[in-house]
Amino acid sequence: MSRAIAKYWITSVMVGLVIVFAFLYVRPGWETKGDPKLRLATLEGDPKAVANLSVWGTYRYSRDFNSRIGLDVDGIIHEKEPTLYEQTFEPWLSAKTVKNMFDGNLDFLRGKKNYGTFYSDDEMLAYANTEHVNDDWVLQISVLDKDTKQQSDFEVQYPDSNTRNYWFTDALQRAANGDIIVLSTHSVNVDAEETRHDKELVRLQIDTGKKAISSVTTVIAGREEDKKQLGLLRNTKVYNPMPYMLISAPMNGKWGYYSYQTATGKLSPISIVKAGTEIPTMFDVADDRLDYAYTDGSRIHLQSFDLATGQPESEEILIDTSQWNAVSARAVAANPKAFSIIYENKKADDPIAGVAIVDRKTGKVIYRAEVQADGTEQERQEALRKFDLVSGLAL
Amino acid sequence: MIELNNVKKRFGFRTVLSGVSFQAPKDAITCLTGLNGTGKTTILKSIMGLTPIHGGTITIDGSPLHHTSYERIVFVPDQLPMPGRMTVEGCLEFMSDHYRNWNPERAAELTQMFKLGLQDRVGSMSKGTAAKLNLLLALAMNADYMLMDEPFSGIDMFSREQIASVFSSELVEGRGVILTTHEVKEIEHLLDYVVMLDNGRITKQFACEDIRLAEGKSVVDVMREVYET
Amino acid sequence: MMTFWKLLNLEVKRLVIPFVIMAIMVAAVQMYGAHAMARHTENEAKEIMAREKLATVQQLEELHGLASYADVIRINQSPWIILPIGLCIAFLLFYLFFVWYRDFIGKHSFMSRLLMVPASRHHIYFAKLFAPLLVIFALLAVQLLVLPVENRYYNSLLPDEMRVEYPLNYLISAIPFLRKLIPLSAEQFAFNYGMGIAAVIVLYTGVLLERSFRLLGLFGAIVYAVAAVYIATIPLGLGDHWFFYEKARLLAGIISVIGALSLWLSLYLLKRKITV
Repeated sequence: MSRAIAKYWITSVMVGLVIVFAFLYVRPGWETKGDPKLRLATLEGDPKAVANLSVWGTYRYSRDFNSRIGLDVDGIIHEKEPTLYEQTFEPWLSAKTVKNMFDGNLDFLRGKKNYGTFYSDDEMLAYANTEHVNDDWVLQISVLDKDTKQQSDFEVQYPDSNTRNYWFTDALQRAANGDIIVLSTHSVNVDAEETRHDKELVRLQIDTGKKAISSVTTVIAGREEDKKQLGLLRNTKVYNPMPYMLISAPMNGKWGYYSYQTATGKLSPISIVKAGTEIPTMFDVADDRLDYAYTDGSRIHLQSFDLATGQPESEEILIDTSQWNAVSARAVAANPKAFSIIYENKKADDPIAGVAIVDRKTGKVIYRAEVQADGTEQERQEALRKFDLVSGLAL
Repeated sequence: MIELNNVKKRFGFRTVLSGVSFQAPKDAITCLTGLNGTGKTTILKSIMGLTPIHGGTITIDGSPLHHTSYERIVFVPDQLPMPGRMTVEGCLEFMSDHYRNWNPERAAELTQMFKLGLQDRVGSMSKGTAAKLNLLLALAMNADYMLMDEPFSGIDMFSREQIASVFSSELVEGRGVILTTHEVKEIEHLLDYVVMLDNGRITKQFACEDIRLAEGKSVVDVMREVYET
Repeated sequence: MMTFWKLLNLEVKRLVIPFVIMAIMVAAVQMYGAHAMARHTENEAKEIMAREKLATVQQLEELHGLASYADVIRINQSPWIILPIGLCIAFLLFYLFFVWYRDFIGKHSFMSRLLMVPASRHHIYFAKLFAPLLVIFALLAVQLLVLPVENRYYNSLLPDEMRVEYPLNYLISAIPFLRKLIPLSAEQFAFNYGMGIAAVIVLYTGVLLERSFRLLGLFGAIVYAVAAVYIATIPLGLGDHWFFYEKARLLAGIISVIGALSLWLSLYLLKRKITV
């Protein structure tokens, strides 16, 4: 035995080092060492009332290293390295979206560009993408009937093929008669230097049977100003059926918001009163309702509008987060019952980062939690100072 | 018995063995002789499976070569085939590690006899010392056959004598030996069979006893006849 | 099986001096790099504080953040880290040829001795395949052991209030070169090293082709290697009608097949065609 050890010790040391490597590689701790001891602590309400008791934020570890981390009541959740499957669609489609929207019809995604736009309802999947091909602006369309699995792919030409102007696909919907509705931004060059553009939002209705455009109408047109974009608010990659969409555009010399009825093409101004100092933080469109929120420091103003009329549906709800020592706050999500909000105060001795779910009728807190840190006072303050909330609680 | 039957071998487009057939019995010393480049070494390497043949058969006691055959048949190439950094002790250890037929007592005896230093490195040995170690590694194996490639080439007289003495000793007794050489003179009296080669062909093969008795000639005489005509 | 371990031991022994040199070089150069980086960070901090008239490190942190070891090696793409690893890779690439040729070429060609070991010749092949792999993974272990030490050393050279803690995987991902060597996802790790091992097997096949058929074999080896690389890159050229994960799986499949085929061919050549 001792002879064997004497003889094979070099190989044994090498094998030992390989085992050390395997241990160092797989042991948990590569991503958690040096982590702050942050966690989410319930301050009010019943945690059971919350669907998913976790939030996302960024933590600034050092000068150039910000990491996206999750927090729940137990501590930090690190994002996993994406698998090869996830790398296929991330970041332009999340694995969750792929599963929810394209499950069973994954082949539909083949050859589709990551800058294209998708549509999904119970019966069909659609895709639209604008390309500049051979000095022409073309709209590539793909439609899949989920029942028959019949897919049709074709191209139509945009009405203006001037190469100094631009087209871009914004949204995709389906009309009652089965036509495809594409909302595209048409950017028209107005001077030789190509520095200023007039924009118009154009509705193209496409007959998928004839594989041709059946109508072209301009939804709204105008000239863009600094930091003010004409067009749809809240673009997404994959559209579900949306009876109404929200458009930002100039309105009698001032910028405002319109509701756009997808089926009829009717445009109605929304009577959001703007004082000028507020910072809008949420435009949540669900069916025919818009949940709008703006903030002026620690106070969040929430209001719902009927998108059919553009009129407010309810009185404004005010949530003043200064009661929790916050100096800034914003609403991040809404559903028919509640709002999800975030509030923060970085300058406090113990920096504050909190999330809450608020009843939309009464404005009362259903659940509230704050990010807390463990350790010495210095460690706690440092950890909280370096953490920024990105998401609130999911509804 | 080692038996070659119509063995053919090419290197690229050049034929080096064209239909070589001979038998080398156990308990006899067979000498392959011929001018340089006639295919002597190639035959030994072919028997040992160190180069493929392109026709014919080679059998050892009736069976083709298998990796287990290396316990029964040892090859002594013209150069000691051990890494230059290896010590004599390392070489002995390598052999004892891999060969069940390795005889450590005999190895120790021979080390003494050849006056080899256990810590001497292969790379810094004189040609004669390397040749002795080379021979030792084969002799310390309880093998049935021993193949030797030019055991006397390029070594000093003293080493030559020491090596030649091995052939008459009990160390090779009972074994079948095939050796290649073009310097037959010194060992002529030890040989049982001679196979003469020229250009990859056998020009003559005979039992030494026969030509001594029947024709009254020595091996060297026959060689002279064959190669000078 | 014992023959394999014995031959592996022999091959590893022959690599131990280069291994020790490489390990010491990596550790020493990188530690020196950590020292240099710490000085750099300290000087930079002093400069910024003087220029912007900052009184405390805390002010510096609020305005600019603190530079961790990972930050400085990333910004500088530290040659102190890349260079020694590059040298190791260069040596190991050379060694993959040398592991065969040194036993064929020279006064004492050890290969005939190896081929006459009374055991299957597969063991010779696998010993020559696994010895460099053992050394590669042992070097990776050295790297993983040294990295946190470097980090600690860097911190120890800085004043208390300038020390930063962060997860070690950031240190690895700070240098793309290092991240390729030690991918943080196990799937990627298996993929990279599987591909690497397949490449070594193809290389060995080339060497054995050359050793079996000499000049003709060399030509064959070049054709074989080019064909293997060409076939392996086919999935990369597939259009966007293939999903990335499909291309990756196809690539893994093709590489496995090439690897298996090359392995079979190598073992066949070693058994039947090799010429010493």
